[in-house]
Amino acid sequence: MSFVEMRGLTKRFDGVMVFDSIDLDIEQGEMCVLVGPSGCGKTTLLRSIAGLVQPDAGTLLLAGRDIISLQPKDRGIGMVMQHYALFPNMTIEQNLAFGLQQKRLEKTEIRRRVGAMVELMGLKERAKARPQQLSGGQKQRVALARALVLEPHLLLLDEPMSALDAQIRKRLRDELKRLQRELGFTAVMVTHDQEEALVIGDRIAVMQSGKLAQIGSPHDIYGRPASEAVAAFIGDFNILPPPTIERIFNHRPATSWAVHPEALDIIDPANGNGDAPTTAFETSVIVSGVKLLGAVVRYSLQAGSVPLKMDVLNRPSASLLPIGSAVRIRLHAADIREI
Amino acid sequence: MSRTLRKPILGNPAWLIIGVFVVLQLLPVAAVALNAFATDWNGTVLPSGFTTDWALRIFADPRFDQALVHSLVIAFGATVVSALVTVPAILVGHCYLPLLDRWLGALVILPYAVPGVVLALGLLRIYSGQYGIQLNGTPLILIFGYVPLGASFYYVPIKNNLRAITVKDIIEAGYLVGASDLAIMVRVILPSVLRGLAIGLVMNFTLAISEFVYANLLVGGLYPTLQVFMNVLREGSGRLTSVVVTVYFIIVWALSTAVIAALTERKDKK
Repeated sequence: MSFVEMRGLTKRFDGVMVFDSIDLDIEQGEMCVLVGPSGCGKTTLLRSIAGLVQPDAGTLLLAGRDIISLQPKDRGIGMVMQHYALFPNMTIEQNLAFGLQQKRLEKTEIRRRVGAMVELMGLKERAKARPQQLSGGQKQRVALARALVLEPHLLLLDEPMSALDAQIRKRLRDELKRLQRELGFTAVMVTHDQEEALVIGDRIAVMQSGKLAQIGSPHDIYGRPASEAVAAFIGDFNILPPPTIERIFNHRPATSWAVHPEALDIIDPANGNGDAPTTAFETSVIVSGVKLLGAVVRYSLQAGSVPLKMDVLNRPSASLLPIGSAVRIRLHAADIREI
Repeated sequence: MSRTLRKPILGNPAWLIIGVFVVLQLLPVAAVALNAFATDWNGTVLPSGFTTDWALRIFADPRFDQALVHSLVIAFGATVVSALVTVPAILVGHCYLPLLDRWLGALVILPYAVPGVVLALGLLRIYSGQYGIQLNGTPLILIFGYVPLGASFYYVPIKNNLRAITVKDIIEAGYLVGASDLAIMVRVILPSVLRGLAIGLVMNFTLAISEFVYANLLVGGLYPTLQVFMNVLREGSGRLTSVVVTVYFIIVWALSTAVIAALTERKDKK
């Protein structure tokens, strides 16, 4: 039996399906990331787990206990909201203590737990500050601390980094992952950022149009997308249907191919044609665009009328291919994902 | 190079604009205060002399003491009763019944769309005992009469405070840490609207202590307030009326300062 078990969770608003027949198991100590495009139902599913939205059907077990009909306060679930929802009239310490006071804990115990959490989150110097005096990153840490100080069985995170700038996001997601490993809490996080999902998640559940399209490890989801839609959302794949493959590579497979941009190589004319056609496919392309993405260069290519994306490592010693130049590219058979 | 925002006071149009506003706000008050202590003030910029005779005459008049006590009872009573009735309705409407809340906004300005005399007659009828409530001739009719009039003074500033916070998210965050609706209201939402509440309290108190039409029509000589007393003084010297106005201005100013300081002090501490 898994620590969290969802079976057949379904929700409709005014007859419009939000999510349908969701079956999901989460193990104790695992960080499960719900990822999907905006409007796919992931936040409503998270709110259903929290008890803020009542599903129309389905069961929800947490540590073997059916919590579907319980009030949010009785579920033993903590949540970090998208915009944190800190109590604006309270200091950081008071924000953390408020939930413990509702549990009627001794004052000394409240002080001890709040002090330990403030220390753990690196907020000691800002403990007397109010939310409006904090930066976005600090607010996020306070929201996380406010949820964790109650020692919930399950922590829910609703796009907790969406309001932060890119640099702070990267730092905080590493911090969140470290905390999760150190404290061993079980968590479900919602995000629409596939990169964030791959970095943070122990397991990823891809949601599309209210249904779970694929559940698996980050490696599985990225490397073996179960459908064209998952491939298009998660990996920025080149999706090639059989007729297109035939036009480009002169080969007609039975299924579509999902090809990562980094799976395409430029053939160096000096080194000949490389592998034999049985293990790799080759074609000629025209470079139609170049984008520098830091460590990677993203080329937009045209293979006849078919657009392709190709990523190559941005080596300091290598020069960029000029727009309009003609090159040959190669795709190894082992890098092809049939979908 | 960035431009400095600090400019010299002299020759700065910002100070001129503020100065005109401050002068126009304070000039009537200063004029009344000067008139209260003037021996004679006709055709000159300033009074020809000053005296405390008018003030001493008013303070020696037992009707003034009685009217002052009555006005304070009415003003405190109306402020407290209207706060107890109106503020919870505003909070509950905003937080839990947003559709109904739109109508509350229209409801609070309704008393200003009806002439005061008509409303006063309505109140006299309601509280005449015909419907089981007999308040006519008592200060309570005035206190309850001021509740609808003062509702908008709470509604506007408190709603502004509520719009500045994400109430729905805060309530849900409260549920998730185990708080009841009452605990969230008392510990989080209400303290977040203290500034609006302070403004509402002061404005309601000011309304109740300085209002004349309702006071005269609803209780008149049965429970004379400062305004009714001033109406009696109308036949005599304007200096006496000015003394009464100056006294209640000082009371309103002192209480306003105290209320605003008390309700906003904690929030301002950083």
